[in-house]
Amino acid sequence: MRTPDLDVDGARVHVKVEGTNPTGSFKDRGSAVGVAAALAAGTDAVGTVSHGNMAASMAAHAAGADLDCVVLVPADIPTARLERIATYGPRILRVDGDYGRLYHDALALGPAAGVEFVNSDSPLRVAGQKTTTLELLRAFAAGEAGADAPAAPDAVVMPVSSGGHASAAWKAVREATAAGLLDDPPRLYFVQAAACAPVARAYARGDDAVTRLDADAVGETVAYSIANPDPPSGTRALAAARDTGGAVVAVDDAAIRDAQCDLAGAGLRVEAASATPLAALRRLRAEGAVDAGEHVACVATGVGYGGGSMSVDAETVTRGNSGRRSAPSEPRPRATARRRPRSRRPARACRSRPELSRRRSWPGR
Amino acid sequence: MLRLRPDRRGGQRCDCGEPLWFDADAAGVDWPARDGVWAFADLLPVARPADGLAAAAGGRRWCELPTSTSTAREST
Repeated sequence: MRTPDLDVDGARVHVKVEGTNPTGSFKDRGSAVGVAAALAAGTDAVGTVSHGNMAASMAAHAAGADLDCVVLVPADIPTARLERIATYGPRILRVDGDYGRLYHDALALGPAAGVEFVNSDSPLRVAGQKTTTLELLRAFAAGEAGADAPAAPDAVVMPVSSGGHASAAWKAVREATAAGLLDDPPRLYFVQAAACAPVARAYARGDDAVTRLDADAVGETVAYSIANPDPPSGTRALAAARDTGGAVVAVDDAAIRDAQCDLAGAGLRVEAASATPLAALRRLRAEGAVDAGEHVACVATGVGYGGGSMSVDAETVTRGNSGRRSAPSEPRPRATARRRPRSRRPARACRSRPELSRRRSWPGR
Repeated sequence: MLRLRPDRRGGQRCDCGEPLWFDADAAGVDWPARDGVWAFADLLPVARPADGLAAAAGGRRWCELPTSTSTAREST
């Protein structure tokens, strides 16, 4: 959707909202294709290695197709996340030890166990996930992105974790170009949280491949769902960014929180990881990598689990009727009943950061 | 319409370590009239399932949000 309030110094912002998928994230695209393939091949069980959106998505799609599902999660998974996954009734295996290795172990052991693992960058998942980019390219080509929008976005910005969605975006651009549907392909920019940014580091160093981050090089971040120190398709994401004239950047948590608040102010609830594209666009615009007037599609990959990244500042008020049964309220005088202009920012999330309210002045305030 | 690589069972990654992709023949493909994962079935390795949640992913019509200026004007 076109979001004029989020424009960045003349750069026109569009947000591809993926939270409207059945389980709230783009992962449903890959899960749908994975489950469809399992059904077509007569496979009885699917699986994945995830403790977040992909686990819930895979379990939900398996349940919807009456397939067994195996989800491998780390032993220390937070209860709230575990409960969300468990909702769909998969077989959940908590795994102690090196969780990062599980990705590879699952691929090796899955066939013998009769489980089709559809991990973050499996061919089936990438095939499904390329439709995120195909959809936004189609919308621009069809003129649905607005009268002043070009036939294709000038740039697409999306979070990168494993690299599966990033490589899927690249595949979409390549296929649309090969089909003759795209004369001027967009630049692909990928974003990581600064606390865990192996792909961005490799890009900044000019490396040809992404190397795994050591534990002491990984910090905490609000964008935990993209904090992957060993991205299996990181090297492909690097290639995608370079091939399309884009880049891979890292943004810190303060910038992510600001972007998340501003998206909420526009009415869009997204998880912190999904706010990284807007945060990155602000940096890219400031650095001149994106020009004023360019149309940029930011991919908001999901709504998340709720809570976790925002401080909630809710007031408690007490009704002042002293136990007396309240009479039907009288109509308020017209002057006070009139609606006031809405604040564009959710006060509970952003009240503690006065710098946000100084950034823009809102008409009517 | 299943076009799976023969080595799919044996592994999902190339000997070089990089992940495999499904090849898609994009020649002659046109933009579909609608969105959704299965609107792009011509570029996918498997056909849309007849029913179930897997038939539902993707697809949200592009729209333009009002600006804060227009919102304030409407509410005063």
